Amino acid sequence: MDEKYKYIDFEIEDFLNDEFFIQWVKNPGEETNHFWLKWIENNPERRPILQKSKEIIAMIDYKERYVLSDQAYMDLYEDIVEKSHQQRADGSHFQWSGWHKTAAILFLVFSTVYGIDVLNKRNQVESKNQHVTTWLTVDNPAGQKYKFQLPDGTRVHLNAASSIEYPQSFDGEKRTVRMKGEAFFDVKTDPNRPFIIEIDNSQVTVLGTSFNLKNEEDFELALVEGKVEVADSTGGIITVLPNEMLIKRKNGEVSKGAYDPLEVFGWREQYLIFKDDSYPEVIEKLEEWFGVTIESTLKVDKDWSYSGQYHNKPLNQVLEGISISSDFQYKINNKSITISNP
Amino acid sequence: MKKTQNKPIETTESSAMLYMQHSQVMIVYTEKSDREVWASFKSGDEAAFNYIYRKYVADLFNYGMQICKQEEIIRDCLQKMFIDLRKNQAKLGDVQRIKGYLFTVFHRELFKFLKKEKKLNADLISIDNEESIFCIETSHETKLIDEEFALEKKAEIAKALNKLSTRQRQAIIMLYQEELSYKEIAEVMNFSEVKTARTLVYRAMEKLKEIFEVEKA
Repeated sequence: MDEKYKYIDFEIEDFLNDEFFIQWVKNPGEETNHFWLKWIENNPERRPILQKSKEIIAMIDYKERYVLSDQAYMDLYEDIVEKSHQQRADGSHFQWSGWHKTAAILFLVFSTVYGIDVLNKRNQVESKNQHVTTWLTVDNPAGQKYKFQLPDGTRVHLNAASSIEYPQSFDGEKRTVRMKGEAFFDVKTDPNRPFIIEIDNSQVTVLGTSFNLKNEEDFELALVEGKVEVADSTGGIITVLPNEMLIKRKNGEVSKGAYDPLEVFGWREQYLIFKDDSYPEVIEKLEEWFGVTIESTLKVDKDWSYSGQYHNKPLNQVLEGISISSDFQYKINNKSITISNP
Repeated sequence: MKKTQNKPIETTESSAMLYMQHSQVMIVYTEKSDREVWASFKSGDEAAFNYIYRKYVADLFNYGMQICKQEEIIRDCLQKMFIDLRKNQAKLGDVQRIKGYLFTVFHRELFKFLKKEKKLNADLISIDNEESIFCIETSHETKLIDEEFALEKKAEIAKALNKLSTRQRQAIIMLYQEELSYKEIAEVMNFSEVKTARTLVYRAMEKLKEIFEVEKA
């Protein structure tokens, strides 16, 4: 049967049983994305069913996940290598005997470095004086995200390569903060003290709500609940309502409309999402997400774009995924990546 | 999700760093298909074994612990399986997908052990009707990612899933979480026909149909 028509009568339980669909949800690739996005376009009334099915597949997880400790991981490896050597006794693999120890030591060292790094970041909240109020800064380097609370109980999830400044205590009639980059805010409701985010040319005013705000080249605000007012430097005010996203492009173009929650909020759940991204956009996302620098000599077509999503995947797997559809070569050398034509 | 120790290998940024440190060796293998990696392992390439161990041991350990919550036993079975594979590496067949293959071999190894032990030790669990095996959670605080299901709904789905038979839960979790195919699931669960695995999941989901379809408030 033609794939296009196969799915027309599918109910949730049918999608949940379909390997081609599951593959798309878990490991979307160029081909599956193309098929399913097209399918949704042609069958918009089936979208809720498809979305539900997608969600069910994505949400199912082990209730308890058991983790092999670093120590057990290494001991087990050494035992396996040692015991199979004894049993094999042909000696031909002896040249490798030091390798697993090196691997084991590296493993420990890097886990530790990572641990310290995280601790450091928690202390990176440094103070600086400005008038009477003490302002604090949280500055995330590339590759690291951070969740914390502001003095009023507002919860902030700060994305990598982003920073936020806030006063040690909100004393005045307003709660004012400044930010760069991308963050998710869950603002503590306080009808008497509006919460204001000052960014280059705009001011975002809210009372109590949750939303994602991206202040990079473009300004993007996606609202989950509540109401947000965005004022620009000329005094114009735009109101954003739940499930709406406001986009102000660098060239001054302003638009408002629905958004794909996974695309906007995915970063908080370790989803790295590419959607029709240009080559420079892909590179920038990778650098920010993994905290690496990328040198590229790759020649790409003008209309080059990439879509794909990765959940909790290490850099090499993401590069592998992109390279398959884009046909490039990459080398990973510590934190420097080089990409070139094959 | 309850974490017993640190995070699983493969899913943390630290392991991403670890991967990078092993870049040269790791890249050689991540660029290769499972079939090629397996062929290298068979020819005695120690780095290929290192890669296979690193990539799959965490998932296998977790899988084993779902069935029998005695870490010692799971580690012994993993050890035995890997040693046997190395001992017989030259004689092993071709493998298309290493993960499915290792799950099948490991499952067999573990059950062989449990059966033997059960004769000696009556306390060891009976696998077929044990509620605590392959428990499912409707994961993360995806409140924001999802459009269709509210938190309460997800809890309800989790509850219904956990009322299914152990085998249904196992098949579901292997299909969605471990990303095994029906063919691989049938092999792991020792079904002679792939259809059996497919039906197992379908029946389970049909049971939950009503919960899925109620519109959100």
